[in-house]
Amino acid sequence: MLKIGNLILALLLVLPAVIVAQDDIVVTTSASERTVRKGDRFALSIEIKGSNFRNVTRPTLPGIPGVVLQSAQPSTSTNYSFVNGVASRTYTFTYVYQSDRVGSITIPTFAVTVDGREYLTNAFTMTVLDRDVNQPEESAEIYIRMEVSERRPVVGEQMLAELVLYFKPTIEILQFQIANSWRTDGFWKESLDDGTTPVAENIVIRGERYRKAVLSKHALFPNRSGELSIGEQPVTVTVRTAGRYADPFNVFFGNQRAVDLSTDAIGIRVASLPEPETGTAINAVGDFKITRRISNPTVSVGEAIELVTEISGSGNLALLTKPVYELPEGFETYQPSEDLKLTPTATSITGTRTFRDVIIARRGGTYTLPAAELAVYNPRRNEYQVTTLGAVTITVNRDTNTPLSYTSDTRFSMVPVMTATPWVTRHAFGTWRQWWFWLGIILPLLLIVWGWRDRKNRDRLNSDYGFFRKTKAKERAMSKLAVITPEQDVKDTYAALYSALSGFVCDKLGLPEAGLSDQQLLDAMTQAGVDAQAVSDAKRLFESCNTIRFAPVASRKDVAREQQLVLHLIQTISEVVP
Amino acid sequence: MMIALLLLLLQGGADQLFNEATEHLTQKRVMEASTVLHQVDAMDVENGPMLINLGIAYAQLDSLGLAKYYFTRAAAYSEVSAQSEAGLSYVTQQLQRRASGLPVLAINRIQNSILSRFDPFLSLLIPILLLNVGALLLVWHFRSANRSRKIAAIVLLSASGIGFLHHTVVSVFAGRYDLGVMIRQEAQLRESASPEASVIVPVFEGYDVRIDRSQASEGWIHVILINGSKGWLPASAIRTYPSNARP
Repeated sequence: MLKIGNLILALLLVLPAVIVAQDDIVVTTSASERTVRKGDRFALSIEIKGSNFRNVTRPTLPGIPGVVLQSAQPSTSTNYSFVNGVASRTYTFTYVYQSDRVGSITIPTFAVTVDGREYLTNAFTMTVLDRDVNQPEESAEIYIRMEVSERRPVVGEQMLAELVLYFKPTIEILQFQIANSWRTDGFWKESLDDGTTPVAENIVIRGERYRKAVLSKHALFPNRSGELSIGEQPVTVTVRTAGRYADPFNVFFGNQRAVDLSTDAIGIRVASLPEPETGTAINAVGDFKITRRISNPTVSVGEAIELVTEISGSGNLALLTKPVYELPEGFETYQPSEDLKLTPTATSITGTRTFRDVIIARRGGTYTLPAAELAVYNPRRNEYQVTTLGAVTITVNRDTNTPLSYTSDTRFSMVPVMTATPWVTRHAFGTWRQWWFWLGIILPLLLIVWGWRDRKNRDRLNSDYGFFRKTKAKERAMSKLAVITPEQDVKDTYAALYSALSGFVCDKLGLPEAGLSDQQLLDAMTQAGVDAQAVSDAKRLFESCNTIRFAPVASRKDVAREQQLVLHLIQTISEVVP
Repeated sequence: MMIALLLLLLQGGADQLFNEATEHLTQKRVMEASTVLHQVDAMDVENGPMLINLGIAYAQLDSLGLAKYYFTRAAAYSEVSAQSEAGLSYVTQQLQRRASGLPVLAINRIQNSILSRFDPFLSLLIPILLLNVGALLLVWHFRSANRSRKIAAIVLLSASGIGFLHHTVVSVFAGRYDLGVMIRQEAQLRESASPEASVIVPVFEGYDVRIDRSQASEGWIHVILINGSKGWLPASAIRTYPSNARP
């Protein structure tokens, strides 16, 4: 009795658990981000969680205004967990959407069928922001910014523009792609990237932990004053977010997706460069060292001297203008040259700009290139710094190679040539008028064409038996006729004539070499276009040949006539069938 | 027959004028000598002695640009090459005393060298010979296949093609440019074909110039100096070398 009571008690305890187990299925929907920007992609996940369900039918999603479904085929995943002795399973459908309208989006309720029973999902709303509106950074999982070192530069001042990615520590960055569409009109742009992979560092923004990585760096130099704009920089980042449950499987089955990000356009107000109080401006802004030298302080008249100005340091090297120096009278300048070597560092562009003037003295003497003052604007101090280039002395000697020989050479001692040689008529040489030119060109080309065709022909004769028979038909027939002698038996002669003509017809018309009747040969001749008279002659000849074999009554004269007829027929057929 | 007779008469006349000019030159009647020699020149015939004597006449008249021009042309005739060399040496020394030479731009030196060394006959004859030998080898290969003959034929035909290409490219280049010499004591190289145009650089007698025939203007020619400067000079200041007697 007591045992029965214990059993009932056990059933009473277990039964509610079984009933609960059948009804513990929960269906929820969630989005990867509740606030997105127009054009961003986000994931919509439908989770079915329960301890004991078997069949889940793929849900039919309703049309959602303001978003576009990227793929009708969802990704699916299954998670198992065992908590406090209770096993449960979570089955997830994930759909990717892209927002295409600014405003509020409502993800509606829809039905999901689990084990034949329908469950309704929860509805929720999302916010889609315009790209120009600053996203509240504290709530964004991942965002990107263009960080500019200076927003009020002067023309030519070096600015550092860094493309920085911020993301929550739960996000893993798999790869990123920076679009080439970054517009920097009005700026000279130099990349400072050294090819290394960006390294993320931990920072705290408004009390929240973030990771920060500099994706690219550029040095920008405004080349005109006024309001300029640094354009938006789109970046596509492939990320993997950790799963909701901190179990080891989530490391591998986390949610991987591509996120399209973009920086905001940045307005830059560029001030004009002030005029220097002293010195000559060469449009230089930065920290430069300027030197000037000449290649050779002592030269001869007419010898070239290189006047080299070297400007090195950090700043707008590519935008510098060539310094113009005052030259002493008697000097000429020739074709200046320039050279620019840039060395990007982590935060700036340094390098050397070299200007080379080639000057030539036309008269001997000692000349002085006057000192020159070049002004460079230093944006840190907001003032010009003037570099003074010292005066340069050049000694120009007259040509020392032939001074003493003039005395003896000045006497012109040539005597006239007294004897005339044969006269030559002047004529111009015209390539195209030379007969040997055309002969020399055309003859070998014709020779090559002939040789090539001959080779093709011989190759075909060796490989194509039908072609061989057709080509050699006459030759073979003539060789058969050649064996006929006056002393030969008439029967044999007629047999040879028959063989020569029938063989020729078969070879020429591509017929089998044996087994054809005379009538078939004659029909083939007619079909090939041989005239009726020739066909008739051939018929008569065939009949004579056949008759004569059995009644050799023909005279030698007849034989000779028939031989001539065969030759005539061969010629006629050859003309019709070349 | 008639042509031969005319040629004989022409040459007889040229001989007579040449002797007359030589007589003037020997008697130091330089102007008369040059006038008579120019009459020969106008007959469209020439020889080495005539050009040398013209060079001597102009050297004695101190017209060194023209002297250089005729001595340079005479260099094309081997029988007077020694006199041509001596005349050019004298003229060059005299010109150096008057004005310093120009620094030579390497590319100009190469281009002028191409123009002066280009022999259209030889540059055409060689590829034609290569083509013919290559064609014979190829046909021989067609008749009895042989790998070495085939390779030799391909090499020769390729070399012939390169030769024809070279001839064509240089002919086009040579067709565009002429070489000339400055025959006035001084002229201004100007930016455009006008006496009011700004001056690039003064050009002195005896300077070698390359004449760009693709640009022309009435009374002016577009030239490139050996230092690379380009500009316009009055046409009368320059004497152009014929294509068979470039320096």
